[in-house]
Amino acid sequence: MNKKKSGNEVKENAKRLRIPTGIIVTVFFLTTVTVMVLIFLNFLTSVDDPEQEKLYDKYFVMIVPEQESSFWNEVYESAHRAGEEKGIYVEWLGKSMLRKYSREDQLRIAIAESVDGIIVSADDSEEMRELISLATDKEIPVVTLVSDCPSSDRCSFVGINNYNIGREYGDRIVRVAKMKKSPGDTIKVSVLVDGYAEESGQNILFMGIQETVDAAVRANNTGMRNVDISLVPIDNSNTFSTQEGVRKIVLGEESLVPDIIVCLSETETTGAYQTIVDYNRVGVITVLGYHDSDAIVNAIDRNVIEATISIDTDQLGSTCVQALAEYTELGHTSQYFTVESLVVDSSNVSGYLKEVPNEN
Amino acid sequence: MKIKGLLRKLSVKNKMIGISVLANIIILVVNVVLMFGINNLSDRMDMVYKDNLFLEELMDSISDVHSNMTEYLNTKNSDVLSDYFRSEQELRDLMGQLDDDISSLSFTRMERNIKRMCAEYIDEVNMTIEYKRGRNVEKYRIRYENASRLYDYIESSIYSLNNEQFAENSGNYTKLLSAFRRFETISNLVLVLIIIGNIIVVTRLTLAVIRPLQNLTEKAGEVGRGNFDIPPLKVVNDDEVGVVTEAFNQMTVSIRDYIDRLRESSAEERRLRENELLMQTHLKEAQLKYLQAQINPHFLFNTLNAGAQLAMMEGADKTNGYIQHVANFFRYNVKKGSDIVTIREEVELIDNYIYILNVRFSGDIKYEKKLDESVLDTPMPSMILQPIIENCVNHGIREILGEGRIRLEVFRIDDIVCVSISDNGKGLSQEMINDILNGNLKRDPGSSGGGIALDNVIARLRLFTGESDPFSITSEGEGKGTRFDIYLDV
Repeated sequence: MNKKKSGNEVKENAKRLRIPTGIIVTVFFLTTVTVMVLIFLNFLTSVDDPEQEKLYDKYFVMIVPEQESSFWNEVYESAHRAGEEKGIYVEWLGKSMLRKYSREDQLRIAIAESVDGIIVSADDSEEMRELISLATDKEIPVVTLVSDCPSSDRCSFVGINNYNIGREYGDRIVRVAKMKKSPGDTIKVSVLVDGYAEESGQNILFMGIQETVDAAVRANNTGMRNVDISLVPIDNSNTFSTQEGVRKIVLGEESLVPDIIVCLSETETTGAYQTIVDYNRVGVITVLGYHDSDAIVNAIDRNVIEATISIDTDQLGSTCVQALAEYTELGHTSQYFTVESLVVDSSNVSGYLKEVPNEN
Repeated sequence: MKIKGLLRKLSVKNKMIGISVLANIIILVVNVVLMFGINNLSDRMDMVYKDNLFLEELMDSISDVHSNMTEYLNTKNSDVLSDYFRSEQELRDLMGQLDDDISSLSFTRMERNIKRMCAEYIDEVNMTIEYKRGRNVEKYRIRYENASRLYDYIESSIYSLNNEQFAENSGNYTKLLSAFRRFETISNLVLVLIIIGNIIVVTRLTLAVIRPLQNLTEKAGEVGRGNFDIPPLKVVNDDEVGVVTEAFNQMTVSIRDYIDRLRESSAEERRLRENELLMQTHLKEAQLKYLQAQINPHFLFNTLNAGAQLAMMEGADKTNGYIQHVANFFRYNVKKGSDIVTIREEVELIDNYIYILNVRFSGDIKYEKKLDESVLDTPMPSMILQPIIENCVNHGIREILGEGRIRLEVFRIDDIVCVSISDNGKGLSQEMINDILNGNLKRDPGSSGGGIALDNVIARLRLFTGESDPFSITSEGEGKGTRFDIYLDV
């Protein structure tokens, strides 16, 4: 009897606790729909990962001789940033193409693409001049960067004062020469130059070196030592050819091996530095470098490279874009912009050191 | 509320159809969504390499233009020229599909560049052909060189774009493929969950439809077992089950009514039969009264008295005494048949009875009595002592050799008057005594009828005194006589 009674009670409780079927059906339906929608949204967002597209008003391209160099990278980054602020997209032309084209071909491509402005690290060749004229004919302003094409129709040049840099190198050569060999000996200096470029900048720079050193020798500031400066053309078309060129100089005939090597590009500097370390010529051959990339700064810190010229890449890049933008807007701009340069040696290298892993 | 009302009115058939339709719709919806997702994915997969295909097409078209131009320059054939114009138009159409925005996306930018270069290229090619037609050899050669160079640039650009897009698309394809696999797993999981949910919902809904039917079955079973006192079932829905439930409720009420009517009519019948029996009893009583009237005691008593006087006149004193005693005995019998009498009257009846017996059996019984005069007027039921004496004579004394003795004593113990009758007969066993006291002794079929049995005596004494043991029998065993004691209140 009791059992029956408790059974009935349980039944009654169950009745009270029973959730109406309608609610269950509704909840089930809503849950199904919600779950499906969530799955779908989740799925769509997981597949769609669209890059935010930004449109620009103008399109500038930058053409430089070397693709892999921190110097040009820094210049491009700066130019790109400066363009971004003005609604201009600055593209490093050679970098986006799989096939490597010469500067001239790249210029032609840029003209064919009818861009809004060209920044080019030019030279003073006839072809370059013609191409710049062709661009100008098509109303594409051209700004030359670092190395100029003075006789062309380019609207502006942004670069460094090569004569001043030459003087800096000259001073440095004199200082090093004093400590090398014995009085009366001849100190051999090799200035590595781009063998294929007909570039006025390098000549001016060389002139600066020559004049400074000559003056020092005349004033006997070299401690009775003669200084023989020679230009050594290097095939700069790729990284390996540069290194090969430097190797040839270092391992060449004893009487021809220079005491001081002056590099006028970042690739030359790193090439020379690598070769000197590889062939154990540290201390025997003094390297004067170009640009303040991390590797070069580290080498200065370790006394493998005597000194280097640091150029304000930020200023270089942004000035190019500013000059072009100004020209496209106003139709004129300053013909000549110079950016600052500084000598980095063991006395001030600490300011340039970044924490990078050792390459050797 | 409205929907609930509508649902209640649906028939069971429609409800069951509704449940299955609902379950199938859920599955269908889920399937449609999943299929939509899968289709979407496969469409995207198809689209992945669409851009690459378009670039191939563009390159083919440019190649056509270039080869047609070259062929025309070589042959100056008008057919080739028309081929050239056709291919040029084709190229222009394809160019129309290229983007022309300066975008942060490298693909779009590259498309723009290719488009611009193509336009430049077409211009150069047209100029080349113009100069060729104008036979300006020097100029057409320069233009041709320009065009070829542009062709090379465009080819290289398209190659670069194609390559980049291919790399990007391969990444997308891998992503899509993994998304596809993920989606497949999720779909299966969702389907399993939905099926489980569906089963639960269908079960709930079916139970909701079936429950009234189950209740009905349960109650019908109860009715089948004979319990008609069940509360009416609640009619939940207006469906077939609702109709059957209503009918069932009416049926139980009708059955209950019918049973009540049956019960009433059988009670009436029983009452009628009782009446009939009563009538018969009355009839019997009347008949008895009639018979009793036939044997008029006065008539009998006067007859016996007349006999006694006759005997006295003839000088037969013994006969006279005997007839007197018989007359008294019968008078008592007639007069005190059912009344309350005193002990004295009962004792007198015993005196008469013993006298008659002694005359009949020639003085075999020796009768002694010791009476407490003060309690002789104590009331007691009539016809109590005579059956006991008759019992003593018939079953006690008659079966012994020698003189039979009966002793009657009336005495008082505190508030109790005791009437004690003892004999020197063959006695009774304890079992027999128990049987007599419990009324279990079957009347010997051979014994004379008409006498009042001991069980009747005991029953009447118990009724009169209201006590359960107003009577005791003691016997010390075989041949040692029996003693009967009657206890009465003063």
